[in-house]
Amino acid sequence: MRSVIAGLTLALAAVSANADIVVIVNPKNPAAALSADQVSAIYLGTATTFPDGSGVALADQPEAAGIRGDFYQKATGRSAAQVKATWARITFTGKGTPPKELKSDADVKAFVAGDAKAIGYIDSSAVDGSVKVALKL
Amino acid sequence: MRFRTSLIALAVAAVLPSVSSAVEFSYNGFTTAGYSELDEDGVVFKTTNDMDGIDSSGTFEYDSIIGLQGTVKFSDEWSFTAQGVVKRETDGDFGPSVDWAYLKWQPVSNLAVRAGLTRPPTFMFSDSIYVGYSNIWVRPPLEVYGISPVYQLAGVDALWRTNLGPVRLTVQPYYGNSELKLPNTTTGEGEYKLDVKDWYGVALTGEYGSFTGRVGYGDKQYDDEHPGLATLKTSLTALGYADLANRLGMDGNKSPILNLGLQYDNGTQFAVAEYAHRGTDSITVPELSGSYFTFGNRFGSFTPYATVAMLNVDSARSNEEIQIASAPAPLRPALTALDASIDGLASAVSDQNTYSLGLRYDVPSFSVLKGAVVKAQIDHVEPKDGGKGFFSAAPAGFSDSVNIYSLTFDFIF
Repeated sequence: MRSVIAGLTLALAAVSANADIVVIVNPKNPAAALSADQVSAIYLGTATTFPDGSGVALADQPEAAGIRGDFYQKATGRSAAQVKATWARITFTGKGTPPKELKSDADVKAFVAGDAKAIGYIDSSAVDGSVKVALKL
Repeated sequence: MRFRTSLIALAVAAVLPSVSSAVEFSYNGFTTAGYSELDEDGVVFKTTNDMDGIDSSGTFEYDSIIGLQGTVKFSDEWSFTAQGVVKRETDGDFGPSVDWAYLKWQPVSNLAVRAGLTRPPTFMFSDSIYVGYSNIWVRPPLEVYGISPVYQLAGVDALWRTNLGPVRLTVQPYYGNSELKLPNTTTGEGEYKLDVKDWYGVALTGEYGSFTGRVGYGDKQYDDEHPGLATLKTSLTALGYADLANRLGMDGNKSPILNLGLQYDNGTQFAVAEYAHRGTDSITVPELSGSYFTFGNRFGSFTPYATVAMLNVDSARSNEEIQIASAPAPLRPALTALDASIDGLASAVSDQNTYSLGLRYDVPSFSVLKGAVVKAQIDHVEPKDGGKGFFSAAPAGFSDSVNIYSLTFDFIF
């Protein structure tokens, strides 16, 4: 039994290691690509615009989704809890509004496809022509 | 309070005509429940704005607070935000107050202008000291955060973000009025409110990779006298020391504050250091320098941290201007008493060092609580120069070290 669980854990670890996260923007966004540093600054609230100076509308994944923790760890080097503390400070000092929490990859994709200012992150397998990949993590 | 209420009314009135069907409303909240006590009888730890503080009998009230913030968004450019808090007020009673209330205009994504009640960025974390969930410590080091007793600005500020090469720069200028609230410790009931005018300043913050650096400068002028000093000033004037009387107390005193801050955070390790200096024109309001250094390391949900903080009194702690020996004999007792009063005020604060150890634990979020944190902290405070350091009360001649024990629960919802 123990070896079965160990095998399963290994298999799951392999799956999550293979699952690429991509940062997506609206196809109208002029940025060809974003650097990890730019994405980090946007999701930590220190940058309120894309590199060309246009505004950003941030999408987030659900608190319970595994992709959320993986994204913040890869993009910002911080845990989802640390990022939450950062956004609480930003919110209660009136310096910004936290990313809009959506329910799934499909919802994030629809949000980004529908707003020229939007940015989100989804599993690479969910990407289609309605959005543009700006960064692979 | 009059000018504040009218400012809010003005802000709301300015916005009402543009209210459309696209108005969005959102709210958020934060709360801290804390217990703290210290280990020396008769010693009280508090800021100058508090009637009561932490003492040897312990308190559930000193760090406890509930805050609720609501924002009405009229358009991409215009919004109105109000934040109310319930906490122990200056007069010692638990009660509600409006902490922030501002109209915000954001014409472009990297510029926002706000008018109303805000908290200026005097120090690096001045505007978020109540949001325990976001802060490293149970409470920010008093050696720096205790040197400015005025927090709330009734006026305007702006937030402008730009890139300076690879550095992300934020410029936040502000201007307005305020009030200094001090507890009436003579009667133990109620509070004094002294007007503060021409409060202006700017904070420059630069972010580069894991580093954040900042420079803040602000000045303001007190525009009322502390009622407790009236008798002293009148007596001094009557005895021929009018010039000295004019250099005492709060009225007309300017209190410029310079702040430097440096922060490093690579996600796992972090370090924060701040330095602050308060200038003064008044003999009885000490010139102070404060600094601290905090280091911490995150191990999963646990974050131990350590702080060393220092307070230095830069001004003279006694005054030599009153010539008692050369005065006519009948005046000497009165002059001796006045001299002692002035020295008592000038020496109310002495140098001190504080060494703190703390542990933060991030509780997994559940139900309506979006985030929860437990913090435990021990502060070892060492007053210097035979004084009582920054303690607000201590037995006569007390200058021993004191330990403060604190446990807080911070939530956001």
